[in-house]
Amino acid sequence: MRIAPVHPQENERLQELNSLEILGSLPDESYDRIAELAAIICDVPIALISLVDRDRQWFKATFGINVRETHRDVAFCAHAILGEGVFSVPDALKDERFADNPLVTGDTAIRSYFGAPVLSPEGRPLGTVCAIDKKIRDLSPHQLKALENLAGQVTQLLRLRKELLISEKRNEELATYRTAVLNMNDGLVLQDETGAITHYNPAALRILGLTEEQLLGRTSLDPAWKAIREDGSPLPGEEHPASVVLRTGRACRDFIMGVSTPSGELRWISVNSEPLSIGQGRENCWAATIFTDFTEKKKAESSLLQAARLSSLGEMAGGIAHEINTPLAVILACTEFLRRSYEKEVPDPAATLLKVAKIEQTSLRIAHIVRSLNSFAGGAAVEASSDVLIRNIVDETLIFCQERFRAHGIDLYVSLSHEVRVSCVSSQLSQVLLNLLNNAFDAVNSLDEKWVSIQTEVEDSRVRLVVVDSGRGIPSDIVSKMLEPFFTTKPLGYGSGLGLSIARGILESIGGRLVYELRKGHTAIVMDLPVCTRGGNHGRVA
Amino acid sequence: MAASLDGIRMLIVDDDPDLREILVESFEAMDAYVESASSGRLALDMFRQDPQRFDVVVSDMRMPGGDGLFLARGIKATALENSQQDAFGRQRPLFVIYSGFNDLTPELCQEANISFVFPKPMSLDELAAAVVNMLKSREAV
Repeated sequence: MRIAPVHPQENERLQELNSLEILGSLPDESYDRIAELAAIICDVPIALISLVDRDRQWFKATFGINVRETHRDVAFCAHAILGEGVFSVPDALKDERFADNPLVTGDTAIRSYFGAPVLSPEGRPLGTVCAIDKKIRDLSPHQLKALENLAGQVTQLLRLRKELLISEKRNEELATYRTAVLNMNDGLVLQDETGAITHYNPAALRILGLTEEQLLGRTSLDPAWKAIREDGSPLPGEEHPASVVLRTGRACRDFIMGVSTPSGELRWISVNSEPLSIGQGRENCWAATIFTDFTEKKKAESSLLQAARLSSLGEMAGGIAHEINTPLAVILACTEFLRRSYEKEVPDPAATLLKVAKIEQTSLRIAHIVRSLNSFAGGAAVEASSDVLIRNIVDETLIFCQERFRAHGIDLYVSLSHEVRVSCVSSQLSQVLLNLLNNAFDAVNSLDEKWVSIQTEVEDSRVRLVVVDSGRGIPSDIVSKMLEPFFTTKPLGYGSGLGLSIARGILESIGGRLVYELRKGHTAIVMDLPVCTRGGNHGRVA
Repeated sequence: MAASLDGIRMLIVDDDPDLREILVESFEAMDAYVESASSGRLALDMFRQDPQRFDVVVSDMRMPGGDGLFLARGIKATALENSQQDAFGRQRPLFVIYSGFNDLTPELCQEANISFVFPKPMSLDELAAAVVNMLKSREAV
C-alpha cells in the first residue's frame, strides 16, 4: 500500500482547513444533499465529502456508510487531493497503491473510487467529493464532469462558510466596541453630511440633558443649544466644532464650549470632533464628536481663578491703601492746622488760603487714585474695548505698585518713547502689566542690584511693552513652563500660578503675545501687541 | 485746646515732601523746634552727629532708604552707646512712629524702643498731646 505523500504546501493547507472550523462539525443538509447527488449521478452505493487532515480524513457528509473518519494512511482522498481533476481508481485490486489497503481488503470492500478535489477559498485542496463502489467501475465523461461540479459546489459552500465565520467574528468585535461606546462616560455623537445627528450614545443624552427624540436629527445650527464660548460670548452654530469639521474636513480638538439643556441649565463640555469618511466610496464626510462633561472642572477652575483674582485684588488693595494714606494724612494735618490757627487768633488770609489750596490739591490726588481703582473694578462700561494709549495704561498701573517699589528701595525706570495706542480693555492690560511688575518685584527684592525698567519699542505695526528687571534671567526649564496655568515657583500660599497664563490669555485675545527674552543678561518679559492704526480719539475709559 | 510743644526739639522723618512740610509747619506752630529728614538713613546720620540734639523723633514707617523700624533700632543702639536715658532708664529721645499698615507688633515696638504707634492718617493734636504727656511725666520724677 502506498501512503499518499504530503501536499507540497501542507502547512498552509492544514491552516486553511482549520480556519474553516469544520472538522468535527455537525452534519449539514447542504453537504448531505451533494453527497447523495454524487451517489445518484454516479450510480454508486457510497459517496462521501471528505476533508484530509494531518493524520486522518474526516467526512462532512456520508451516503451509504456510517463511518465518520479513517486514518490518513489508508485514505484514497489523500492521493486525490494531490492532483487536478477526478482521481480515478477503476479497480483497486489491480492498483498496486491500493491492492493491500485495509479498506479494500477488509469489510468495507472498496473496489473502485472516483474523487474530485474540493478547494479552500484560497485555492488549496482540502478534501474530495468521492464516489465509491464495491465493484469494478468506470464513470462516463458526464459522470466525471458532474463529480467535478459537485466538488465545485462544496468549494463554494466552504467559501460561504469562511465568509460567515469572518462576519461572525467581526460582529463579535463590533459588539464589543458597541458595548464600550454604550458604557463610556464621554458623549459620542455622529452627524451626517447635512449636520443632522444620526447616532449617539447614552452618555451624550445624559451630558446634554436631552431625550432621544430631542437629540436625533438636531444640527449644530439649532438655536436651542444656546452655545457659548469660554469667555461667555455666544457661539454661532457655524463655529461649533462639528460644523467646522463638516465644512473644512479637518479635525477640531480641545474645544471648550457651553451648551444649555432644555431646562436652561448650563453645561460646559470639552469637545473633540473628527471627520469621518462614510459610504461605499467614502464619498460622504460625517463628523464624529466626542465630548467630556467639563462643568465640574470649570467650576473648580473658576473658583480658583476667583481666588487668584481676590488675592491679587488684595495685593492691589494694600497698594491703594498706602497711596491714599499719605495724602489723607496731609489733608488731616492741614485741617487741624487751620483749626488750631483759628483757635489762637484770626490768621493771615494768605497763609490760610495756602493751606486750603493744599487740601484741594491733595484731595484731587486721592480722587485720581480712586478713579484708577474704579477702572480695575470693572463693570460693563469699563470693560468695553477701546483704543488706549500705552502711556495711560502704564500710568494707571504704576499707581498700584510704585509705592511698594519705593518703599523697598527698588528703582523704577519708565521710558515710554512713543505715543502708541492699543485696542484693548484697558483694565485687562493694566492687570497684565501689574502682574509682570509684581513678578519683577519679587525677583529683584532680595538682590543687591534692584531695579525694574518699563520701556516701549515700536516696529512696523507692533508695539512691544517690555518689563526688564535686574534679575539675571530665568532658568530654561522654568521658561518652558511658566506660561502654564497653576505653575508657580512661589511657596505654597504665595501665588496661584495663574497670573502668567491669564496674562497670556488676555494678550492672545487681542492678537498679542507674551515672550520671555534675555536682554544683556537681564530678565525681560515682552508684551508684543498690535498697534491700533485707527488713530481715532476714542479716548480711554476713565 | 492744642498742646504746646514749647521748647521740645523734634525730628520729623518722612519721604513724602507734602506730608513732611505740613508736619514741620504744624509742630512749629505748636512752638516746637523742628528739623526734618526724608529717609531713615539720613535721619540716623543726623542723630549720630549729635545724639543729644532731639527730644523726640516722629517717623513714617515705610520709606525707601531705611524704614521707620530701621531708624528706631539705629537710634536705640546709638542712645545705648551714649547712655542716653532718663531717670527710669528709658531711652532719650522718645520715638514715635505712624504707619498705614499693621506692620508693628507690641513685641517689635518694645524691642526697638518705639513708644507710640499711630495709624495713618493720624491726628497731630493727639500725637502732640501724647508726646507732651510722655515727656512731662518723665520729667516729673
